[in-house]
Amino acid sequence: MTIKVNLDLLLVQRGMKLSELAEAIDITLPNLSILKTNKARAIRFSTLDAICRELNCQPGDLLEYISDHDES
Amino acid sequence: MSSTKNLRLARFLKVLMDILFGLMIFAIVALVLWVALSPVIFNQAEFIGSASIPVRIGMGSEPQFEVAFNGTPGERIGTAHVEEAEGTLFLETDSLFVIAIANAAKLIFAIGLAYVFYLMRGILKSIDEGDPFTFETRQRIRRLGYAVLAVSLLGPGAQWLAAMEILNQLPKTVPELMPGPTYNSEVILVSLLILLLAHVWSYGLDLERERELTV
Repeated sequence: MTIKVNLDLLLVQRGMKLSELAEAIDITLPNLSILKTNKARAIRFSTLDAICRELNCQPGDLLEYISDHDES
Repeated sequence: MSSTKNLRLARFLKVLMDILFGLMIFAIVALVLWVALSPVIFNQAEFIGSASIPVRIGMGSEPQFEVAFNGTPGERIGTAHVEEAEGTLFLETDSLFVIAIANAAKLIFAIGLAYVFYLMRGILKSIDEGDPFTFETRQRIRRLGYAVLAVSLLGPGAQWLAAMEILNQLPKTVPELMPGPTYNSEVILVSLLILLLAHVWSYGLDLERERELTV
């Protein structure tokens, strides 16, 4: 199973750059980049809250569950 | 500040390790030269030195120092002396085989010790650079444990082999002579503790990695 982060998609839809989001939610660009590239192992509720607030979305819009079956 | 003090201590220890590592390299080179040149020296002087091997006397808890030989001791046995504090009898010999084992044991010990100092230098260097929590440090600690364990087992193993060789040259004695105290349990325990520390370090590194990848 995989949890996919659709941050890049949301950013395109909002016409926003990653650096702008990083500045708006006060998270370093490298950390946000880890999240965008699906390298993160965990996400804090505070980070999720900040991203959802800034992008005006739900956690479900940001995170997507992909089962092994779907992957194959 | 305590952290500054610790850094100074780390730097001091690193310099100390540099010196000790240099000395061990010097000792290794000297030993290798001695072993390599031994046949030449032996041919010229017909005497290469002697090796002293500890043997245990009897099986009782109290050491006994009066040993009766049934016959004459082997030609290769030179002198003998007793370390009463250790309860051990040291037999000295000029047997080439025993001397070769003794030199090999010294060489193994010197190489092992040099490797230990080399690894400790690496660990102290990473502390000095401000980033000791790396996979390289974990590897160094683990190798340190294995090196200490290997030295603590190989050295006494060679000593046991030499003692068996020298005892085979002796006639039967009363009480019976046996290979002397060999394995140092404290050193083995220390090596196991180092390996345990490496395992804990590894767990800490995983947590650190987890923390780094939590946004």
